[in-house]
Amino acid sequence: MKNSKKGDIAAYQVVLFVLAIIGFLIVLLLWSTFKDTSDTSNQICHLSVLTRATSPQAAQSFVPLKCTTKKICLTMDSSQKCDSSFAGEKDISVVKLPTDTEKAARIVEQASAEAMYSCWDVMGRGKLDLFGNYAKYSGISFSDAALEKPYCVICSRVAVDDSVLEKKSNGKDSDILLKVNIYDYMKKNSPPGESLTYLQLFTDKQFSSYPVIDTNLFNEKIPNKTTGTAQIRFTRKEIAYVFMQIKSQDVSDVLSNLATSGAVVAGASFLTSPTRTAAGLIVTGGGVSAAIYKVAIIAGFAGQAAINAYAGQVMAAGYCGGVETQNPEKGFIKEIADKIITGGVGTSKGCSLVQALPYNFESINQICSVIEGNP
Amino acid sequence: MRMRNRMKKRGDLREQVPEIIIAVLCLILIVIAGVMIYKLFANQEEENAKKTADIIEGRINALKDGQSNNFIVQGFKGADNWFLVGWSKTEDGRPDKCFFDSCICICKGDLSRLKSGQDESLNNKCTDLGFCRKFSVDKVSVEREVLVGSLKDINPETGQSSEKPEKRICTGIGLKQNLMQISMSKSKDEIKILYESDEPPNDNQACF
Repeated sequence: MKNSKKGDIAAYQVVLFVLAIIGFLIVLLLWSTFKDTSDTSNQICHLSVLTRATSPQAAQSFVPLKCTTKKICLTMDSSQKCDSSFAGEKDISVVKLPTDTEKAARIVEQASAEAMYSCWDVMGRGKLDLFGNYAKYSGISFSDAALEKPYCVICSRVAVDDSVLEKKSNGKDSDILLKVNIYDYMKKNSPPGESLTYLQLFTDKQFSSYPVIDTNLFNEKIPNKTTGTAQIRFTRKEIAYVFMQIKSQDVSDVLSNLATSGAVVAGASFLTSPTRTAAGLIVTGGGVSAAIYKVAIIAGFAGQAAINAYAGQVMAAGYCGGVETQNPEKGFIKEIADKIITGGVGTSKGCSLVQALPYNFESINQICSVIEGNP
Repeated sequence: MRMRNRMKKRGDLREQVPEIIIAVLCLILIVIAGVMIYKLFANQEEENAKKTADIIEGRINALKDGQSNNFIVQGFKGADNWFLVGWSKTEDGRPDKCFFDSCICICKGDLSRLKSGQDESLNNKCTDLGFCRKFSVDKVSVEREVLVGSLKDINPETGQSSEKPEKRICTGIGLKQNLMQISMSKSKDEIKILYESDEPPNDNQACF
């Protein structure tokens, strides 16, 4: 009798022990499997975004955004990994393009649309206040000027390898990039796991096609709050997808300006217009109001027609309206609290956008004063 | 009786072994989770500085002898509290981290507040908190070119005067919170890193 009890206990202990070891191994296996994947890095980024947006105001400055800039290399030769852009850097996602020009162009479109949407999705689709409170509690001055240039996150850098630009047809520049039409791709295709198209997702489900674009748009002065033409030097074969937020009292003005400029404006969401020329629109902040810059892109290297066509699709998608913030509904001196919360701008309204920009200091420093996240 | 008690105690202890092991495993998991959470929220600035040092090292190693190139350094929140500095193999005042090699370091400190004759203060900053990368070349220079004003240049033949920018070269490069473009050249014996700064130098700084 006694022996049987001893045996029971031993069997129970062995089973428990084995289960514990198996459980531990499973956890370790899962941890090591998902540790370095891009999906996990997206989730870590999204988690840090949510943590910051939902933290009490004073704690926000202690919550860093754990968003690492993704490096995507478009190449035709897998032995070449965009060395002119990424030499010496790690964790580069290489997208090998097929020799078929049409297929290669679709893959470039897919990579670009995916990079833009992923950035938008991970950063909270413009509904979270990520930088307003943070800027205040990080010791930045209380004036409007503090938010003149927004904080940015560079979600990804998409580089075009020389092997793509060197592929010429009939003596012309690479016709892969000349055949890229990101807008058309976004109109017809959906991100993985979504039933709506990229265009519908960016425009709050309201649009399924783009408005007709006035081709003379860029020859005319954009009215009202447009602050002129920004020249962007395209000195590198690389585009960055940048997320930024602009605090603005005049959200409706921003939207009407965008609409005047030919952007798709749906409720509070917008997507700047497609253009196949080497010019586009940049949306940026200037104190209390956002502004639209007309952009001329200048390139100065071989394959510039091709890279211009690609970069000419410089675009911005975003949302203007209220942002979720840890605003105390009631409390003493609510007005002052509001002012603190809204970064001194006096509003919890603003525009959030993800924008494709040439990856060089002239372009990005025009817009971003601080880049958050990890290089 | 005493013997039986001892045996019983030993038996009790044996029965506890699986629980102890499970408890230890749970503790290990909790520690791993804790470290991950800590890494998630803390030391972001240091991690970014370290990563920037790695990227610069990678860029230098990717350059072949005789090559030069411009490259972008992507800033990060708090980058203005860090600076880039280099020491040649035979230079005095190098941090111990460099041992007997030339090295380039990213160190914590505000470069504009460092005083002239600063080899020692640069070293101290890098010893306190700095990430150094060693290189096998004899000479390393990490400098920034600053615009201090303009000089009147008189053409002796025509007598006409024109203004040309007066530039000074200062030791070290302060990092920025957005992007900065740095030029880099590498030869068999030397690595040169130069940044064209748009900020005037501080009077205290080591410029020449």
